[in-house]
Amino acid sequence: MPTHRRDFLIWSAMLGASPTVLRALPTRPGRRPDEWDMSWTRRLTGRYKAVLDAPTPSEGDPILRAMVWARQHADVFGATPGQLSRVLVLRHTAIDLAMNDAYWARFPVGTAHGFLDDAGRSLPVNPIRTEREAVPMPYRPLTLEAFQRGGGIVLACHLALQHYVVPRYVAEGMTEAAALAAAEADLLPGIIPQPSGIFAVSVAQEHGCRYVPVS
Amino acid sequence: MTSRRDFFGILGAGAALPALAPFPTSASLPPIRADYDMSWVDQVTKPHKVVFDAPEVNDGGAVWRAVLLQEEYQQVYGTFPDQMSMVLVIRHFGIAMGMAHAFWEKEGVGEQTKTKGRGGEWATRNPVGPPADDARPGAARYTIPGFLASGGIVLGCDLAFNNMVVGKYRTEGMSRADARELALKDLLPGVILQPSGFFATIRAQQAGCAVFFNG
Repeated sequence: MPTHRRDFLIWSAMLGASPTVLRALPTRPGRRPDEWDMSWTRRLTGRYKAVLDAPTPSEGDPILRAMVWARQHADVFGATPGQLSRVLVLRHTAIDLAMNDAYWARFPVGTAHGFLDDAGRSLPVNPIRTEREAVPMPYRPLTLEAFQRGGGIVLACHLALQHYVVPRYVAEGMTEAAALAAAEADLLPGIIPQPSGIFAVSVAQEHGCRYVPVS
Repeated sequence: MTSRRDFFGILGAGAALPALAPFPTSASLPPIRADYDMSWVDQVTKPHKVVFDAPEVNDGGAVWRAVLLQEEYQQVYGTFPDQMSMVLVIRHFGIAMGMAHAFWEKEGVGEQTKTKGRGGEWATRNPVGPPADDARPGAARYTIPGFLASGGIVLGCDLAFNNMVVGKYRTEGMSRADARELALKDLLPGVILQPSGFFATIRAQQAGCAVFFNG
């Protein structure tokens, strides 16, 4: 995974960087501790449990692997949907996969991650949100909607939301607070923000999930 | 980045995974040789246990994330930092995080690992080594000495140490054993070498740690 300049800014500020850098840092999550929805942990009741860690979009492979994990457990072990508990964590630059089509149309997200249309333009829709005619088989049904319909839990790193998503709105002139509100509103339905991806990955394992990197 | 072609190539191997079995406990797997200090396993006893797998320097993000995770558990669950066993495995290129500032300066590690200093120049100091005299208050928390002082465990990959560090200390006519002795003097105090990084990561999981990949 490449090193990102923003990562550097975060920690270098902690180690004594200039006030200019400090001012450039995003604010910490504007939520009270009891506002984080942790109810998803009560759904981790299956015999087979996995937390699927996605730090990068990786051509959409995270959702492919998340779906295949379930399918193969059904094929090999005869697992029923109720026996499968799966948590997909979208963190770091993969946070863009948690955003709706309006966000993808508004910002050049597709260009940033290599999701381009036939004419080489930035894809104006989230490529893994829902089934689309343009997507060839067998990839077409491998979507976040299908994953969630099948009982999959999708968690989003709030830290990544602030560091990668919010600045795009701020660059259009929004205040930090308004940008954060807009970003949270543009999260896909059913996706649950967590304080960070690290936190989500750790908590899921504490509830019995096996760690599976999917980027 | 893994391509879809690569992914489908390993699907067959994935289908052959055996049924999940419980890991052996720390007590049931005692070492039979004293070449490597395994006493750290007995320190992984807190209610919450996490191992951070760091194969790259990545601006020292693994240390930063380890500190952040403790804060987030406290925010969400009211867990105190001393209720968490934190293990950091520095392996592959990440082994450089375990070395003294002098090694970074002499060998140009900043450029090799794409690590930049405060002014945007290639770092001449280990970003998670002992903090500078003019570092901001609290900066020590985000260093390896600070992490160790807070009860964290830092494990270094001996394969990486031998392959990427020891050779740089070897001058004409010097034996490899003597070069290793010199290199060990520049290993940060408290860093415990293990046969390999993957050995350490897997052993930590056997001791009950959730794993987080900080690639």
